[in-house]
Amino acid sequence: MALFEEFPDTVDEEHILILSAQKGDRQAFAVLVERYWDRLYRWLYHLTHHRHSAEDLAQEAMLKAFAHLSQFQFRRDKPGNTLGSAHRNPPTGKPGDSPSGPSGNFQAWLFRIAYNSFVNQWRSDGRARQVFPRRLPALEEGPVDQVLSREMLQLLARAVGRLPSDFRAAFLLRAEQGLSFNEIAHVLGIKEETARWRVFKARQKLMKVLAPELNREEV
Amino acid sequence: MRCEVARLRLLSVENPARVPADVRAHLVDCEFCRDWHDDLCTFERHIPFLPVPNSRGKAKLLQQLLSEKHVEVPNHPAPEAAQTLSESSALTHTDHPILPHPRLVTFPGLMAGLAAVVLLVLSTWLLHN
Repeated sequence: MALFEEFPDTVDEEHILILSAQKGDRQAFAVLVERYWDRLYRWLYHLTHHRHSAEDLAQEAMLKAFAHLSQFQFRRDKPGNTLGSAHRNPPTGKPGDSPSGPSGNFQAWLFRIAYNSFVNQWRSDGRARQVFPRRLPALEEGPVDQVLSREMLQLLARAVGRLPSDFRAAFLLRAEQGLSFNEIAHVLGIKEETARWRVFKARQKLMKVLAPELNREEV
Repeated sequence: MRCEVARLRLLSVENPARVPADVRAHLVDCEFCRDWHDDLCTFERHIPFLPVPNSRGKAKLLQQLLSEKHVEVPNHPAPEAAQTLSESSALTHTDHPILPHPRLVTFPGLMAGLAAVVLLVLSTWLLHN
């Protein structure tokens, strides 16, 4: 109840969880892990094309987030939202990085930590190209509104996997995570216009490769 | 509006499913662009369903988080990554306290301690006699 009194107009479930976790409540942080693990892991898998690397990076990001959660601050200028601010140094690994850009939500903050770890790993591996796996993971039962065939979904996966990693990271944050250009810019440490450009290029490349395939399939 | 301009506009908006008003007018008249737009939305809608192998990492992390007294944060990069990380001016890895390992008492340590106590007792007895 004290939390409600502390932030009468900006309280929601996630806000409470983060505040509790900031006070050392592991159960509260566990709920956040439950909420964000799959999204983070999926994104990292698409970046690395490697299950163990994606798991390691996701775990590292979660633990860093927990250790540095006190640095995550809520903004009080927008009542009713769970936006926080990463204005005070998040655990980054980027040279000269100072997150003075737009505030992001907790997801953007967490993804930024993960992206910095990914970039560090990428650099330490000598910028090794993430080889797209020959065998794709098995497709699970699709949603009711899925209109693409399994073959087309595999083609889509390959086309996304072959996008340059910068474009892929931005595009997936938009198409899969639903982040705004502003939030994508914050996660990747770039300008909003650059984020827009990367998503634009990714879509353009995908359409160039896939649209003819889709039309052929319909014939 | 030309088809090329309409498509460039659709590629650059945040959500292609929400068509800007000026482009919508073009789509009403142009069947090719309408189909192209449908394809774009179809692909984008299916991105969340791309295959990804199952992960067991979440269960491990939750177990670690909820069972251990101290959670070990990976603040020591791999040797090859150390140089990159040390270049970072804003790196905050050293901000948080180094957490003690849960296993503080080890078998060799215990034996060494016992040996020290025995030696101390022996030397005291020798001094008094």
